[in-house]
Amino acid sequence: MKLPYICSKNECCCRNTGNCPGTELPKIVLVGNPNVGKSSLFNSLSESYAVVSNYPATSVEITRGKGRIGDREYEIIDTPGMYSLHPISEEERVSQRMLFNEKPFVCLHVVDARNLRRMLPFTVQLLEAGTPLILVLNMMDEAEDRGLEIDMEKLSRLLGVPVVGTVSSEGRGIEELKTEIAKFSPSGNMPEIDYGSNIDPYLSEIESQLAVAKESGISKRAFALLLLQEDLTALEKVSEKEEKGGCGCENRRSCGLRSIAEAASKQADSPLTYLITLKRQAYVNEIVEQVMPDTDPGDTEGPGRRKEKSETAARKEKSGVKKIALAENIDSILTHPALGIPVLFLILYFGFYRFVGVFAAGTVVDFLENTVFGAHINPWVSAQFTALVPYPLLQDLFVGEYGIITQAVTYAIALILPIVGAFFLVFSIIEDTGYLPRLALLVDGMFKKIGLSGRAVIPMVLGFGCSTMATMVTRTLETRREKLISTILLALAIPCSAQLGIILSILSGNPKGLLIWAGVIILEFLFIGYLAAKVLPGENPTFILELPPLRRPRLSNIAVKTYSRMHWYFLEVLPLFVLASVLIWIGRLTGLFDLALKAMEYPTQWIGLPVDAATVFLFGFFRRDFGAVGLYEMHDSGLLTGVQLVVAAVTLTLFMPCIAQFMMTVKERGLKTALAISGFIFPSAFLVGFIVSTLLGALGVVL
Amino acid sequence: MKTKSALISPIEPDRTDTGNTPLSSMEAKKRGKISHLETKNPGILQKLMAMGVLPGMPVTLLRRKPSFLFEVDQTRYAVDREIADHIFVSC
Ligand SMILES: Nc1nc2c(ncn2[C@@H]2O[C@H](COP(=O)(O)OP(=O)(O)OP(=O)(O)O)[C@@H](O)[C@H]2O)c(=O)[nH]1
Ligand SMILES: [Mg+2]
Repeated sequence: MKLPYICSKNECCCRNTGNCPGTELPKIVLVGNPNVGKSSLFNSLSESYAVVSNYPATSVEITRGKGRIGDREYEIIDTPGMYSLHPISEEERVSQRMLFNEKPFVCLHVVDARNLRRMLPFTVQLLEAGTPLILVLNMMDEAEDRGLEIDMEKLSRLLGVPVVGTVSSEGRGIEELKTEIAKFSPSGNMPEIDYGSNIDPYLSEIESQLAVAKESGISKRAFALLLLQEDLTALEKVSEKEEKGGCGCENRRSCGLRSIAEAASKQADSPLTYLITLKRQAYVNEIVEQVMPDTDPGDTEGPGRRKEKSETAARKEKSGVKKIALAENIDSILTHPALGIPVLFLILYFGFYRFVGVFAAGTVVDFLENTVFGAHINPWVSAQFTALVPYPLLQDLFVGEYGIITQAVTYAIALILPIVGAFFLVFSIIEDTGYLPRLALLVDGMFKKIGLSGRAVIPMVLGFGCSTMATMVTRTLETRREKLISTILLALAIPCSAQLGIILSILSGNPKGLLIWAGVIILEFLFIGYLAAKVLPGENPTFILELPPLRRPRLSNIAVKTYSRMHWYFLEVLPLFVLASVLIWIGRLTGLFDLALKAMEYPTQWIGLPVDAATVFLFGFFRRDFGAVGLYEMHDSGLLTGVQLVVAAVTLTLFMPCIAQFMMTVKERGLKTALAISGFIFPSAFLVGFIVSTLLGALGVVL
Repeated sequence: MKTKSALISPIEPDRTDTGNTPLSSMEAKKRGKISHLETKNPGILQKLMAMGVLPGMPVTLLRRKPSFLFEVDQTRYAVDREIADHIFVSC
């Protein structure tokens, strides 16, 4: 198993900047539809690591890495999946721009071998754009399971580009691919598609007027096609040029590339995109019929449809049929309107409550905190330190109540690490099976009521891992409104893994309290979502999502993914915890700490908690998980009653997003929105805490 | 071959054509062939086409609830009613 090489952001990933050392290397760009295995191919070609999961739109950013193929070094670039060269969503536009702007040495178009008919139109588009191309037929194993046979040689001849079959998750075909890359030279072959009388004349007119095709980064023909389809990026380029008067034609009046496009779309009876796509598909269908002669899409099931089939293929297909039937049965339970919900609860109960809450956050943390650190490491370190450094001031900083070693390091290693580790493990398994898209299908109807489409369940679920990552994933949602609502909900009601794990463990001895806590959080989630959907202008989103097949999670992938996320989380959390220790130390020296604590005491008492609980919220300001750690300590020392525990857990869950999430919200949604969200959250968390505390008090509930 | 002819055939066939129903009113477990797409809403049209839901493709509706779940070729899609209204199927 190859462990990922994790680099600091500014070292090798150098996003957006063009001046990092890697830019001199020839570039290999991976493009293709979502979920076809680009990132797993990236991982086997480069030294870097990109997350691989079984749902569309896993990668939302461009990832760069270096890799050696033959005796040359290359820069390898993984892109977010896109459906065509004419992008619809924001993350697709990122990939389109990168194809336009960076001149790749070779572009690997990764496709799912099961779905040639659906995938090749994009290949054709790339060829029309003049991109230097190798076609990678990935997921050959699944194609074989379904008894599909593809004549790759013929496909390569028809398209005029190298074709390689791979199984990137197992590393099959990677060597062949590397050989093809090493000996690659662009063919310049361009498919000649007849787009019909509605389009061709306009196409050639635009092409003839495009004097300088080079600077757009793609061929004239592809650019003209994009223009006819009113592609935003193409339109931008045209406006730039027309403003500068640099479009190259003599008479600027008659130039107007845009007006040609408008004329073309006026005379056609259907949108031009529709016509162009259909013609391209017809072209692809002809190719597919030649390379896969035995499959007629109109009649996939009839007996005797396959003429002659090699023996090995037949054997593979036979074992494949069983695998597919099993996946099929599980799938029909997961997506069942009635059975789907109980299955969801089973997953939540065993995966999260039992494993993360009770086992990791309970048993493991207890052992690490009280036995390993509490009884052995910390007393020893304290004794050593006190003997070596006789200054009480420094002793306080390192081994005091809030000391760097006794608090920051202990918390990070004994509490946070096992909890987030367990969480990310469960998460990775769920992601890799392909359950998340099924969940999206299940909740779409309900999510529509809070202004979201079922797709939004993916960032919401990821938010339980880390809300910062999840806030970034909201960019895969389609409308601004949907992005905004999901960002608000992530900041407000979704606890992050460490926080959730600790709360589950604290409340695990108290099932009624746990139910009340969960009920309040779910109600708040729905209520705020409902309000936001009512208040924010705009239409409800539509829902369309590709459902990848259910797959058996691969151990190596789960291990690498869990490890890399833990690594990342730990590196993020440890310095901040240390910083907190230092700040508290300074605060206590100057008296500011007590002042801040005093200020927090008012809202704390207001929601019916003892004065000491103010530290929890003060910590919570710093980081959510830090606050949860504070709560854990209070619970450990038996300072809170059952009701108080529930109130504190509710308030803390609804409390401020951490600094990292705040920064991410600023990046994705802008400073004003981020400030508005935070300004709303602080009072509303205490308000809900107050309501719960008052209600439970009035009803005389004892927990 | 029928696939090809269907693709090149008139783009907007007569809506009253017998057997041309939107996917949203098809029965579960039924098979058919996509006859055309509603082209009024460019956003939805473009999305469907990019994702490979195109006239001439055979389609099987697997579920109507909790969302519409259908299969085209080897791929499954989950959509809501609004999108399902945009896909017309001939049986
Ligand atoms: N059976 C099989 N599964 C594969 C193969 N390659 C990748 N996978 C699985 O397909 C899923 C998607 O892989 P990714 O590498 O994340 O796909 P991607 O193209 O990067 O997806 P996006 O980032 O969402 O665009 C994962 O569950 C992989 O384990 C393959 O050759 N065979
Ligand atoms: Mg990816």
